Amino acid sequence: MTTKSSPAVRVLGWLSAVTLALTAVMALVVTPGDVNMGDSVRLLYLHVPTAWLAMYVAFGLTTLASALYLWKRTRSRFWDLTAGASAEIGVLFLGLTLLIGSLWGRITWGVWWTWDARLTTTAVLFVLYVGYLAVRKVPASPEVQSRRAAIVAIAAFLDVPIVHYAVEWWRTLHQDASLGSPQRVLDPQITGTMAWTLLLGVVAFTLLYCWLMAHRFRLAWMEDRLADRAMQIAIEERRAEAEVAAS
Amino acid sequence: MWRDAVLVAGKDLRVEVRSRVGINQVIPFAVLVLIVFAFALDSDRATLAAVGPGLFWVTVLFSGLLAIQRSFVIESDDDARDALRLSGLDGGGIFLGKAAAVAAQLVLLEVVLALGVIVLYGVQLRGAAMLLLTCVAATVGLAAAGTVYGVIAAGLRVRDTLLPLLVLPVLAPVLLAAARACEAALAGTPAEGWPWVRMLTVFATIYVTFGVVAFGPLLEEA
Amino acid sequence: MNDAGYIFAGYFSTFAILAGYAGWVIRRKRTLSRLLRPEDTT
Repeated sequence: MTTKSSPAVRVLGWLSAVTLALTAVMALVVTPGDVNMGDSVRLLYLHVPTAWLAMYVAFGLTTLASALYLWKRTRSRFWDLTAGASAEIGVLFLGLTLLIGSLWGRITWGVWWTWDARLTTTAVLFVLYVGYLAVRKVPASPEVQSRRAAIVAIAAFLDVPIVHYAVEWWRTLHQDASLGSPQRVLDPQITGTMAWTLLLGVVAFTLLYCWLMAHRFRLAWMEDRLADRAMQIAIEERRAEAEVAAS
Repeated sequence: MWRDAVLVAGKDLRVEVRSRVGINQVIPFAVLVLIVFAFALDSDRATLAAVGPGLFWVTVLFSGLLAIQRSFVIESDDDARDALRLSGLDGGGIFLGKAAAVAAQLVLLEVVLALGVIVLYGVQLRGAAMLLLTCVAATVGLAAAGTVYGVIAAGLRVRDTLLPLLVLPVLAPVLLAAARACEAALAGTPAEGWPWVRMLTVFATIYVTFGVVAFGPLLEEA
Repeated sequence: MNDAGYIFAGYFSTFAILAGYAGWVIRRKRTLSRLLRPEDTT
């Protein structure tokens, strides 16, 4: 097994690095500030892509892969490892979403956190998938571990709309007067270069996600092989002991 | 399936009554939490009455976790879990039985906590029908979801710390909806509680269904 | 810290964390590949 990744993956890596750098330059230097929220909009060029990639792509893939693993006809280690790798990257991206969002909130509202619908739902989502990653790490036989994790992933997915609606309802009832109408503040006028920069950011993070997935999946696959080998060695040692004892 | 459920529920409740862990430990713990909240919040009775519903449901949630963990701890003694698997009882039935037993304990807990909240926090009882409905819907949801995640965490050495991590985000909407519905009832506008009760019902339905379907396979692997 | 400070903190920490994670994954891959090399099957 080589340590070098395939040329395609390396190209992916460079492409994502370039597009990320370009996004940063566009976001920080080229684009203007927003009419309503000023310079803080520059954080959104990172915040929105990480949020979308985490919630729709990463966790979506985790759910899909978990379902495919649970379905007998498509069951294979591949889907289990994919689910885990994607969830880990999703948690990473979502964590960044919360971090950047918190900084944005500090600028816009003067507070590091507020219980508005989106933030609250995102926080619960974050903890849900941290829990999923924790379940993956609990030792058990491989099939048990994978199946249990897959069920937790499906349950987490089922929970997302519930949490979303509950919190939405709750927050529309309790509009925090000091923040004004969140709608106007949270949806800036995205036009022209700003729209293109946002799109660029989404593309950049998508490329980054793919590159990270390629590596993280490979790593998970290697860990799986290593665990298999360790198991084989243990079995062979046991067998050797038994033979010595018998002779 | 239903007969198996009654069988398992009866067994769990009998174990509970004989060991009296619920009465001796969980309920006093819950009342203690109510008292500790009062210290920590350092509030006058008016504020405590206002936050009463929220604190009530938080306490139910945390104490409920103890009841759920207990529900599976009793299976780990003497390999009872293996006996359960080999008994030929229907997986869905075992789930319903366990969840029902947990729900029964939660109901008892809620009665005691309701008294606590009335006496200690000065909450005035109003909108009894809405309160009752909320408690039923929320309890079923808590018991069902808790039992599902309880079996996922069961048999794992890290069970005690894993279960809360897994189940609290899932139960957060229940906490939210139940507290808001109770607030509406106590404020004299029970009609506002209806959307929340609807959500609690949807939640309970989803998790009871999920439990009946998934519990058997999950138990096989615990 | 004024607005610009928060914005730069956001960009800096984002890229630092992403680079750190990528570095961790790749480094661990190298470690494991050394352990798995003897069997040399893919």
